[in-house]
Amino acid sequence: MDNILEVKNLNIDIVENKSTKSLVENVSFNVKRKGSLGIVGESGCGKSITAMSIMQLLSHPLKATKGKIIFNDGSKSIDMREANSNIMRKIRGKEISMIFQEPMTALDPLFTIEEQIAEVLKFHTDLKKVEMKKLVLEMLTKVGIPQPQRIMKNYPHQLSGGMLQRVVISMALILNPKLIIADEPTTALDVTIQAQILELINDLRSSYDTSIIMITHDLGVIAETCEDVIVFYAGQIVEEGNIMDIFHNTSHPYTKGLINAVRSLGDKETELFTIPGTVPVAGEFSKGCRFAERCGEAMAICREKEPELMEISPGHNTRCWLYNGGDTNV
Amino acid sequence: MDWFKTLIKEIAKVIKGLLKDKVGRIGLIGVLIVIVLALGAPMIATHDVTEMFAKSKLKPPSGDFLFGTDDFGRDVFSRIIFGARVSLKVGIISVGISATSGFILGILAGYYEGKTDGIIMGIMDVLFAFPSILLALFIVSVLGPNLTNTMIAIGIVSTPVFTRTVRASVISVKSMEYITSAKSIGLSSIRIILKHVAPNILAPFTVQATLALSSAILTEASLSFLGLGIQPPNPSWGSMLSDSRKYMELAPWLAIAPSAFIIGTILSFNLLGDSLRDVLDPKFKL
Amino acid sequence: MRAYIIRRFLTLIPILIGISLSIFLIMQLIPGDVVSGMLGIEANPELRANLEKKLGLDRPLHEQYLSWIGNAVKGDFGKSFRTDKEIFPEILSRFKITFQLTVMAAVISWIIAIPLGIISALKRNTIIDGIVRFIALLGVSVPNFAFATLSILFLSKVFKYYPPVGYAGLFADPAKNLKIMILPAIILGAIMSGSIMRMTRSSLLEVMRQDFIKTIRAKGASEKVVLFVHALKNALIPIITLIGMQIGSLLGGTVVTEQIFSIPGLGQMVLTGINQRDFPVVQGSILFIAFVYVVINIIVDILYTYIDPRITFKVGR
Repeated sequence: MDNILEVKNLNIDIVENKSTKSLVENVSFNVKRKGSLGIVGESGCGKSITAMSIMQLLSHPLKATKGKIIFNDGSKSIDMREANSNIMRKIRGKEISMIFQEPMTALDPLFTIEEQIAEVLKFHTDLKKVEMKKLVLEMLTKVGIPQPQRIMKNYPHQLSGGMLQRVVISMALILNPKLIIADEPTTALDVTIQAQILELINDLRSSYDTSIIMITHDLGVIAETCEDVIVFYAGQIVEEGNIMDIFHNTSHPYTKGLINAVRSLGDKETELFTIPGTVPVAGEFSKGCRFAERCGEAMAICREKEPELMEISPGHNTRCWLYNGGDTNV
Repeated sequence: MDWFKTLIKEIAKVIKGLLKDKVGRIGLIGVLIVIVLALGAPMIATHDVTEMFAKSKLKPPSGDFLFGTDDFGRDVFSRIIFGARVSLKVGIISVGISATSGFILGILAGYYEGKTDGIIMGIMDVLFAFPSILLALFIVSVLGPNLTNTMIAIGIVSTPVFTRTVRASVISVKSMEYITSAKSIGLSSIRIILKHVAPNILAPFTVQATLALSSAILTEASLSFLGLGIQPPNPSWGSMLSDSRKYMELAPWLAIAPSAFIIGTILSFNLLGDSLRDVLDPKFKL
Repeated sequence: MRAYIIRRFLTLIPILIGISLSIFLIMQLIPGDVVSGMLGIEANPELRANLEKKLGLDRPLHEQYLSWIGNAVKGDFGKSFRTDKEIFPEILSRFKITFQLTVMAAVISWIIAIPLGIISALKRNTIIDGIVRFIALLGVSVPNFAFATLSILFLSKVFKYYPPVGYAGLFADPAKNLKIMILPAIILGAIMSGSIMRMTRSSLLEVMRQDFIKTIRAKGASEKVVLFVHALKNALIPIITLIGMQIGSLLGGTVVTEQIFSIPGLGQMVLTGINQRDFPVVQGSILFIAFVYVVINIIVDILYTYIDPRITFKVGR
């Protein structure tokens, strides 16, 4: 099996006051061993909770209600949805680790950097204190923290966002996990720092042979780090394929919109392109295509019937009536 | 009159929110009962509060004396009902004193900053540096224990909380951009502050006033319990409870009735305050 | 750190000046004057003049204040009008009793409140949570004198238990002392526990929502580690503030409890002083209580720095 992670027909619901709303619907994707998958979409599209559900870190009222999340480290395969908390604890931080969006709030303010990184070692190994310290120091050096001896004695509030993100990355990588889930790792950082952090993630990933899921709203980030891409919209996958398919053979109007938005950012001549309208709220989806209201190419059928995800070329799928082979009968 | 309409609309919305919340509903009902008892005391009470029935001293509850009688032969039920009046009156007037002075002091401190701020907040810090019951006790004992002085003492003790809230709000409003722009079109700034502070502060102020009412009623009861609040023969729940201790064995109803009413009243105001906080400020909701 | 502690203690000076000044000024509000209060209005003018001189009341106000506060700093609070005894030693010996009661009550309240608050937060929106929250609300709403009176009533009616009469010192007769102190301490502690329970619950829930809790779980922490190592330590910060304030107000709250249980503490001294219009006693003991209150709050602030490394960076209000 050459996939480290297979997600099949995953559904995530929000259960509140006896009413259930679906936030993520029937999502399936694979992450190849040593591969890199980008998940892109606007905020609230369900990409982050999909990531949290892989780690079984969703908390009430969110719940993964259906589907399989199969993690295969080469020797055994585990369905994370069925795994008990003991098994999950052993996987978290050791086999799969996470990098979060807000480095400023991702660390406990009351513990030193050293204590917080060493905690990963404490949870998963029997190392002695001295050995832990040595490893922490090595790791901090690897992620490019100057004067790690001094910095590791510091508390989070004494460091900048970029530094903290390096700390979080070192925490995620210290046990050489098989898979890293990076949830908007650069969004909260300055532009100049963003590039550095992405480069760091790329370098470390190739030297550690780790697979990665990169979750972002920024196609630029995807272009720099990923081989495969899935595009999320309103809790569904609307397009998936490799990076060439997505950028050069773009099919779904939503993806086109995202790409235009990025291009217009780089080009000062043209006006900033944005997709009109807002993402529909869970529980208030219309019966047709969820993007129809904001779509420039919407047809009559788009408002009537929801399109299926279908293959338009090998490995390149899209959820759009424009590619349905002219079958416009309702 | 537009602001008046919006105000009414806002109040209606808050009440609707309170009624939706179970805690708010219970609190609101409890508070309403106390208000009705206080306002309707002369009609609800079955006897004169000072009338002594020499032949019926320390009688247990009966049809004639609903909550029994005390050692002077006075009707406990009627004294409880009129006690609600005293409690509520002390609560409202003392919170009125502290809310008004807190509002004015807070505006002054926040508006002028510098020396004025230093002096006002210094005084507030000093007031805060006393345990509140002790300060109230001290002021009452110096001024002389009676109804008016009890209200003044409680009013002084609860002023700092209001001052702090108002000051903080004035300072945050002052730093907002629209104040600078309003200044540039020539509005006098104290008017701008008042105009913007008032709506900002209404929510925390209301919650605080409700909670201050409950603690004012508690402080009055404590002072009266110690014999330093409302003076006999005026009925006060605190002093009734204190007097009951002499006859605890013989007449337990003397202790139970005032305790139940003190606890019920304070509980209702606290429930109302809690629920108000949730309704007015959703971010507190957990 | 040391600089911070010193700076924090320096803020004590203006506050103490403010406190003593306000006590002194409030004393001036006494209707009539102290001397007529002591000797009666028709007292012989010569006697009056003598007493005024003895009490220093013939001097200008600022001199009176300065001499009062100057002596107070040296531990001389003057003599009682009634007993003519030195006040300060009396305050100290009574403070020991009040302090014992306060500490016992505080410890009892933590034992009740913190575990219940944690359970309530963890079992949020269940029946257990509802019960705990109701108990906590009662703790906040029931005045301690009402709770004390009802408890005595209940214990005597149901268990035929009567609180012991007469006081014995902790070291003189520890067994009797504890027998006397335990009920008032439980009553004060139970009342205090209400707000600590509420604070523990809301503060813990607030912390559990923070991002870093997710990070800790993602590192592979057990829920035990998440709760007891990280969440609780963070939640403790506002709880400690509250505890500091409560211990202070407990010093005031004991006035009532000491009265009910006839415990000869500082609160009872204040009350007796008030009832006998023995103003040097009132003035001195209130100054002392306020002083202790402020010092406790400063100690709490300093304790903070050991828990929260961010504190020394943002000094001030």
